[in-house]
Amino acid sequence: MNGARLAPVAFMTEQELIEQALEGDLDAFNTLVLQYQDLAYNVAYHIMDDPAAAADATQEAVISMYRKLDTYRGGSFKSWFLRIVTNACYDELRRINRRPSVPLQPENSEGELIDSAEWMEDNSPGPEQNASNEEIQQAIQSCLENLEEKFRIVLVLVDISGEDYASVAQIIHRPIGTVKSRLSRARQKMQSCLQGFGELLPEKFRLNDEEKS
Amino acid sequence: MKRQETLSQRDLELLNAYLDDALNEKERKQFEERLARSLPLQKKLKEYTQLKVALRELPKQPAPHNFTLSQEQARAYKPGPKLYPAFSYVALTAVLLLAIVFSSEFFFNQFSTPMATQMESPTMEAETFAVKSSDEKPEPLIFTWGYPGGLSEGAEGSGMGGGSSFTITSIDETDQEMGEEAGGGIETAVPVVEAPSFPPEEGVEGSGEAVTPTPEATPIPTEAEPPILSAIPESVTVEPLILGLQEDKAGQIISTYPQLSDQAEKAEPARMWRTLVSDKVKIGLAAMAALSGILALIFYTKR
Repeated sequence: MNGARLAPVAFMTEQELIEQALEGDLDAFNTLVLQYQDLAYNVAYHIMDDPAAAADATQEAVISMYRKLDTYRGGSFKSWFLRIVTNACYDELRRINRRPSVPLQPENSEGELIDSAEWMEDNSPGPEQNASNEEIQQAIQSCLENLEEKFRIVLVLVDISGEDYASVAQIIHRPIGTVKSRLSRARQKMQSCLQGFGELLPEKFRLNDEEKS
Repeated sequence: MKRQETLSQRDLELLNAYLDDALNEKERKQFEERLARSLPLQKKLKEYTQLKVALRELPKQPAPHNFTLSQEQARAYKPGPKLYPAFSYVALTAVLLLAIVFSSEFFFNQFSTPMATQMESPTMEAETFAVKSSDEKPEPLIFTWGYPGGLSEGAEGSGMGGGSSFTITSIDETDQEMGEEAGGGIETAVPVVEAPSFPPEEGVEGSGEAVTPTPEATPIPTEAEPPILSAIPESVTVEPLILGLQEDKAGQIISTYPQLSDQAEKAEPARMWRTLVSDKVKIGLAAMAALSGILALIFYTKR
């Protein structure tokens, strides 16, 4: 029966999928999930900065979406789903903060404990990355981690996910003025943080002496 | 030397909106004009553009696995019945009923006030009659209010002096020189007596039978049989009425005001009963509204 439904579901519009899902069609619901799971996980990843926590938050968001689908009242389904994702991230962050996990103690090849957590970083260049980009990305990711949640979420949604201000306001359930204010502060903090990396960054991210004065 | 321009938070917000293409046409033109003249703004725009590009170029993180739900998961996470709307409606209904009860009471009290005044009016008219009758009859019944002593001492402090008891003094003991003051005391005492429910009788003198209300001592003229007075309900007892004088009862405390007020309460049993039931209903409705509201809130947050 599911196989019989797969073909028509694949050609349905988003609205039709939502209507089918509301009627209890699990295939239609899962098609919606497949459409947005990468976006959801990507946002969760940059908010959580932890692949496992991001996966947990995404799964929770999908379950929550399934249970709350009847509360969807039209508008942008993407924004509605991202709102559920950010809420799931908030919940996951709160859960992590309540029970901070102790990271696994890394050992080197001789069985000795490694003091630094730098072992977690993957320094091998990817096929589409060069060394310069990797430095920037690591610096940016590090600065993102240090941002407060409320600034980080707005920055991720606008600059990484590409949402406009109105969508972000809908997602975080705040006025557009708050979005503008938080985004401005987030970029200021990111800029200040990146300047702290100094020589590690490419020249375009550095301020020369006369610019600093 | 030109002073370095400092950028405010508002400037930075405008700059970000410009960068994110979130300004309308007019705002964008105004900002571009300012941007052309401001080096700090240009420098900041360059920095933010680089940051935005760098963030946009962060590698996309693909989902490590599909997050779709299986049939078993779907059954497990299937949303249950929505209870919060039911409780919301119950709470709303209870609040509406409560509002209806309160508004009904309000209007009832508003429109019942003139009726209450009408009920009180016979007493007032009786007072008028009493005054008239005392004018016609020079022989007063002397009640000394608030002072159990003899009339010779209490007369000056009598009238409506507010004492909680009154004393009967035989008319024989009454000093005929009491004058008009004592007469005034009699007049004011009469309305409380509420004698009009008894038919007047001629030839009544002050030496009545006893403290019990008798028509002999009623100082109401024969022709003053107002139909309104007969409307006084029988339940209004007249035990504390003093309609006659008795020598051996002179100086005794017959009754007190609290007893009168007790009887006044007894005289309105129906009204008390209605109020009691209404309070129970109101409390029940308020409890139902509060309980349903709390349950609706709980189910709403847990949905």
